[in-house]
Amino acid sequence: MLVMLMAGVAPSLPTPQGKPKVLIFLATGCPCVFSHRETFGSMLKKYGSKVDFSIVFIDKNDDKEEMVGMIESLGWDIKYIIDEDQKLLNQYHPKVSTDCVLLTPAGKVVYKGAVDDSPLNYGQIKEFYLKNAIEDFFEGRPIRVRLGEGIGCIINYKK
Amino acid sequence: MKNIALSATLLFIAFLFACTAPEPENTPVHDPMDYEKVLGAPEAVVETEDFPENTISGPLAYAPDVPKLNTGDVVHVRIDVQHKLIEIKEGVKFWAWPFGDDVPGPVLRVKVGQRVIFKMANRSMETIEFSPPMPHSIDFHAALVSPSDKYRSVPPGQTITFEWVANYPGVFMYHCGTTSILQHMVYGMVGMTIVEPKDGFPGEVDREIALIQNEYYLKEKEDGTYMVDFDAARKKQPMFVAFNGKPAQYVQNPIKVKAGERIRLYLLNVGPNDQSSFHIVGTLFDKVWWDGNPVNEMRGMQTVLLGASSGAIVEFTLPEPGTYPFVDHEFADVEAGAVGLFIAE
Ligand SMILES: [Cu+2]
Repeated sequence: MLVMLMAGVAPSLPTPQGKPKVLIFLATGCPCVFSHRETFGSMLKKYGSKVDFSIVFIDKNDDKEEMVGMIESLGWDIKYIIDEDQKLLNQYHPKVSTDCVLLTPAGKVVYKGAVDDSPLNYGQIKEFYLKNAIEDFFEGRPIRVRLGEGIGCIINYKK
Repeated sequence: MKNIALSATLLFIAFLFACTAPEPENTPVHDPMDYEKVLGAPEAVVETEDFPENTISGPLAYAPDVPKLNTGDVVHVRIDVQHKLIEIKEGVKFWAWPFGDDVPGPVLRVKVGQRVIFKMANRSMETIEFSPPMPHSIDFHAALVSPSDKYRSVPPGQTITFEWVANYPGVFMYHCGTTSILQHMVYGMVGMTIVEPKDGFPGEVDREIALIQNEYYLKEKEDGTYMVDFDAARKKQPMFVAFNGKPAQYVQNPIKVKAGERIRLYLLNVGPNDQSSFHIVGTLFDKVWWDGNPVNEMRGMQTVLLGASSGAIVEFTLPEPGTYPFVDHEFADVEAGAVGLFIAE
């Protein structure tokens, strides 16, 4: 099921009470996310009821059909947001598309960066950054790695 | 017990054969591949530097042209990556990620023993308004080096330098190896390397031509421009199949040759997904060098079957004046553009 939310209203996104939130920043012209299709997809299945996941499409010129097409290609059950005025970009400053943020229910960023490091290792995942961060959060532990370097498309921040 | 008896019988038969088999008349005295190979190379360097005006330099040319060899033991080669709107057919434009200025990238020609000092800048930053800049890499099938070092992804705005030595003669593919590799290849990140034997290819020819076959997976957008259709690529349903980047280009603009001249064709199927059954109507391939290595010679062939990333050199003559179609004899591919014409005058 795809639900589109109004853009650029991050702090008051209709998040179910008390749930942490994951935003993944994507552009339809950037295929790098396909490197994380399985890892992120399995997180959606495993934590979908406990974590509020959303895609943030960062380029408002992206075609809506392409956004829906991309989500279908990824095979993810996830809602999406269009970041019309780059409000979410300016709030969270992801470096590349495919970067994610993990937010506490109070909206504090506890992890930022790549889903995992598979693009650096021919698909082999040595660091499950986002999954580890989610686990650490639920276990009440300090987050192991708080910033994971991502391989993705450079985001065009408008001045 | 039975097994032991059987083994003993087989051993006896083998012994008889060994004793009675005639000596081969032409015992090979020289293995042409028996020379020292150079393995590995110094670690690659990724750095930021100014881009030169041209995106390519070195013994390079865009197919069907075949570049000349550089002399010397060391060859400097540069192929930069850019994101560029290219037109592959009238009215069909899409933002590709070419090596150099076109799809496929330029043909590189070196010879066995030459050390290639290779540079590649990732210039995808230059068109950030139109196409998201991203990491790219290059993987030379002709090289024996560590992929995790030399073929590493280069961030936008940076330049990689690495070396490799040409060890084996042949026609080889190069391509981007950044994940998803399928995506990077369907965006046009493919090309050909020709490696000559140390003393050149055997025999004289009158003309050399390069043909690279690739598939395009595109869909038309509402505004009439095109974009890559990754789902179609995953399902192996190409919109076009092309020789040298443009479907059916040599039907309207045939390649002109002379009847009776000996032609050497450097062939490569860069895929990324499908095979090619290359055939020329009206002639046979006098010589076929599988993967372009003269050691792998076949004679009098009608069709050369090339899997994705396979190459070959074929030599032939067109016997008399006329029009000679060349095709991928998988005819669905002809319908998609894998067809051209030689005009023999
Ligand atoms: Cu690439």
